[in-house]
Amino acid sequence: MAALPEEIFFAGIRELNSRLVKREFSAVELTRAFLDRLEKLGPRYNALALPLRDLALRQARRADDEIQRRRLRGPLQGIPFGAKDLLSVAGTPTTWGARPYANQVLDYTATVLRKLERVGAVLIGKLAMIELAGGGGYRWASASLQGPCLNPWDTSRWAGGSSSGSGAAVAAGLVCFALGSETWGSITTPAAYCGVTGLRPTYGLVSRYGAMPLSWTMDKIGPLARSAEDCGLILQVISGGDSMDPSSAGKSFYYAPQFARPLKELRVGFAPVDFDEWAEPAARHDFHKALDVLRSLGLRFREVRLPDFPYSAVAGLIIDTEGAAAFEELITSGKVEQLADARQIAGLKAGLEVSARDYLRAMRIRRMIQQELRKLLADVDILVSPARFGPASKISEPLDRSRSSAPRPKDRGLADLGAAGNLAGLPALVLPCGFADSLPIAIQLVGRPFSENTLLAVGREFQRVTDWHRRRPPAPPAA
Amino acid sequence: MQLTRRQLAWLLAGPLSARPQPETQRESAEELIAAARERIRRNAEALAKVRIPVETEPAFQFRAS
Repeated sequence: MAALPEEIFFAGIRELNSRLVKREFSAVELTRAFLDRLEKLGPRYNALALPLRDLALRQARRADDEIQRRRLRGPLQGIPFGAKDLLSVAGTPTTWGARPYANQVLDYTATVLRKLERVGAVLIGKLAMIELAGGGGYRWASASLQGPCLNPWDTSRWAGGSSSGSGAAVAAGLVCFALGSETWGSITTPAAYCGVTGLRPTYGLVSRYGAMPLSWTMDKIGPLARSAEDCGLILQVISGGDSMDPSSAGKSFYYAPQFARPLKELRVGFAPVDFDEWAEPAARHDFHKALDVLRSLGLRFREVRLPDFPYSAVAGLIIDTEGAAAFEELITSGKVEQLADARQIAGLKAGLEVSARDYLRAMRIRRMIQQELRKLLADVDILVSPARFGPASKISEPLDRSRSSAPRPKDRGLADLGAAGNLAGLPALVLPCGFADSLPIAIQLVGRPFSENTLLAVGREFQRVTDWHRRRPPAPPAA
Repeated sequence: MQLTRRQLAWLLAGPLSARPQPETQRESAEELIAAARERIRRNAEALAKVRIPVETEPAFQFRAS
């Protein structure tokens, strides 16, 4: 068969599955094409942790066999995807992006990957990540076993973290979709920086069994994909109760945007200061246009601000404490010194010293945050803000360098929505909405717990009238 | 479990050999630890300013089974 056309690598799930079912090409042909591309281009972006050719071709042959026998298992059947290398596949290396675990081979497979296999999706590779998902706090984009993950839109920029390879691989058309994880910003940041759609599910909706733990009370697994529609299709498969995950909410998710409330009935909370002052100047124009698009869809806007809490301090202290506990053996054995980022090493060590009093205080304030956000989300259905205030940072610069010489706005608006949303376990949908300095920018929609269908319905409509999510990065760099 | 030859070759020749060297440390390990402790201390200080009603329970999830 002739080589598949380039646009195949940027097609959505439904289109690919429809062409597979019509036998325009086979799952094996599609998988080989994606594998060749992933193996060739993935290392150029430092996005690939490990290709899984043999496993993928086995899964693809099974998908072909079932499609031929008309055992259709839904839109993900035969679709090639990648998984952040914190998700375990039995018998293959799972490195957690970190040198001390470079030879780790676990004997169990993550629940989310088993669920995707059950519906015929084809896992073609493990994708690069920030070491230990950033536990301890990293300073450089190079804090990864693969080196700094390069942004397909501009390889002098970072892909974002910690699900770096997941964002870069989807943006560059190396996989149709990818799984990532978020403790605090690890899906939303790479999705925003790479110009792809990302969904952080409600805490507890998706099983974390077989995923590296960083913060037991904050970790979530979710998709990065081409569209809100694709995120919905993936979430439907990976969600659901799991007795192997003590945090599982025992709830399922059925993607049903057709039954979502009419957009005209939805109230959106926003803070003008986010778009006028917090956003970097180059990004403000397209952020405002995104708000105009949401208004044109009939959504009713009202100004809100987050209740006054030290969100970042609470999230930071909880992640420091739980992360250090999760990696206590690594730290006390001294193997932590093998990590790439010196600040991360120090952060993990210091995390062991957090007092029980401070941790409990953080968790009690977290309860208050949860209650106050519940009140805020009784007045509005959705909160909208920039996913990040500007485009991707430069690889050569430390991540904690301030990018603006302007004084920080006094009004915090929804600037802490990332920390607040993760502390309260709220779902977030990241939608590409334009460009700043030729790099993608994105807005985020945050909703009540288990309101993914509402967020996805708004996202789907937003993407029906915009084409930011269909834009492709420039040609990949030469080898 | 055994690795396939392809996986072994990838691990030996691929990403691991290309892994980054630790960044040039301008700060000593002691200085970095001190900075991390200071960050945690500042976070704890920010938390201490929040008045917490006595009835507020920590946001743990635990179900007896």
